[in-house]
Amino acid sequence: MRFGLFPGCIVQSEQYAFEISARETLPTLGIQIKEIDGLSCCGYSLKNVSIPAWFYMSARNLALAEKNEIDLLSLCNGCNLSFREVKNYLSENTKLRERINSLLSMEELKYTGKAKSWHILEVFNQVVGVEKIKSLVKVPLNGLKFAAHYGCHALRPSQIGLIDDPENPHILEELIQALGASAVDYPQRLDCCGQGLSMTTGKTALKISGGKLKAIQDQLFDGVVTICPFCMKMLDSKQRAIRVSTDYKEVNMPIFYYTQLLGLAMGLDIESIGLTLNSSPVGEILNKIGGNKK
Amino acid sequence: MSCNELALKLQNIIGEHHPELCHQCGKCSSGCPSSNFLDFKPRKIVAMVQLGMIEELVGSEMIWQCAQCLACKERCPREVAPYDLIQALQNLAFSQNFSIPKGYSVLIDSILTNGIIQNPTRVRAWKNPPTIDGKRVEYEKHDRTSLNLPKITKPEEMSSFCLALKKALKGETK
Repeated sequence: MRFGLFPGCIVQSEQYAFEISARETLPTLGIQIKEIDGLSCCGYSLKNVSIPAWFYMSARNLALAEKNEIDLLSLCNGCNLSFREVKNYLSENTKLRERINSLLSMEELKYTGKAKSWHILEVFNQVVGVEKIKSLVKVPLNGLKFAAHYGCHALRPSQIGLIDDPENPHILEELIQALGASAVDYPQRLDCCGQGLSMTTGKTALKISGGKLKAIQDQLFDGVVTICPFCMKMLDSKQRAIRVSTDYKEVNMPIFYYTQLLGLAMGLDIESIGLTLNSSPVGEILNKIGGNKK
Repeated sequence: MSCNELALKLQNIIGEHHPELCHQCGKCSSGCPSSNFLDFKPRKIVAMVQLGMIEELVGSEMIWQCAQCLACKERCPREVAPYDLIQALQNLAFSQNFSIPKGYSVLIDSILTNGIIQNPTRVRAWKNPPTIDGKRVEYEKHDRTSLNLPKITKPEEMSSFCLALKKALKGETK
């Protein structure tokens, strides 16, 4: 199956490891990627100041997908949620759709609702399938225990039909288990990473991330697996800041994108899955699976 | 602008939501990540809206202390969706020129210039993936080109895109 890749602002401007590992692993799983010209921000970052601007931006990217006769594969939880919510609003409200279309007509675009956005976990779960992933594992991650971190916007609000049960999801755990590792429940599993507070109160954001990481570390997990670039930014690259400016001085936890863990299990080279870009101590896991050959 | 006019504008933004249905069960606030650290309780905001304290809210820092985790929206048994109400108050603050976090103007400027919230940055690539002993590891700086990633796309006609976005930001979607 073919998708138009929508990396989203944060992935294409700094969270390169996700884009690298997704582009490397998806084709092996039978997922083809098409580049779409003219894409912009999904608009989610503007919803707090202007709901009309958010609608316009999301509808614009969906209209581009429509023009290319393809669905989008969004790498970011926020982008996927944005497209799903806006699509929902526009399908319910003809007048709103007309108003958005009058803005889109300035670029000769039209939104009719034909294209939709897929979350990467949906693609793994529904299009590729757990069995296919199991069949591609060359280096089983046996004996490793990972904490799945979905990120709020993968699961909420469930009213619009997102990827899994909002209070008891399992897709990511199943995908981790398919690689030979274990993924067990933990009390903080659905807790927010705090990123949404970064702009207004960065220290609070660090405290929230730090608290979650500390709890995960205390429960003797080997690492954390996520699929959200904003959560990754908090959990992976802010650990030093957490140690310096909060009470969580001992936080030191390897954090992976699922696509990176998948690549490791598929026996791919660490550079081809962007693993040299993670700031957290992912070398620990490489040592454990005997893969730190560099 | 009078209190009633603000309330009316808020009602226009929140549409069919009904803050008056809230019976203060507190489920929203018990699951709220911000409420553990800040003077921020979704149910307090809903109560203040019920009491007509719209101006106090749109002018306060409180409405910007939401982590946007959507747990309150998910769990509200009365379908009040406190997050939607907070978002509406934030929209009202922006449209009525109340003070809002500076970061938003940076975001808007970047989108109007580049189509995205920030241009591609240079990042660190470690020579060896870090371990917990905290030993200093050598790194090189990389960007999209050196990482063999394709060029990012942006709107082909930036002027039309900006014009449409500016209209939308002013709420002119007619």
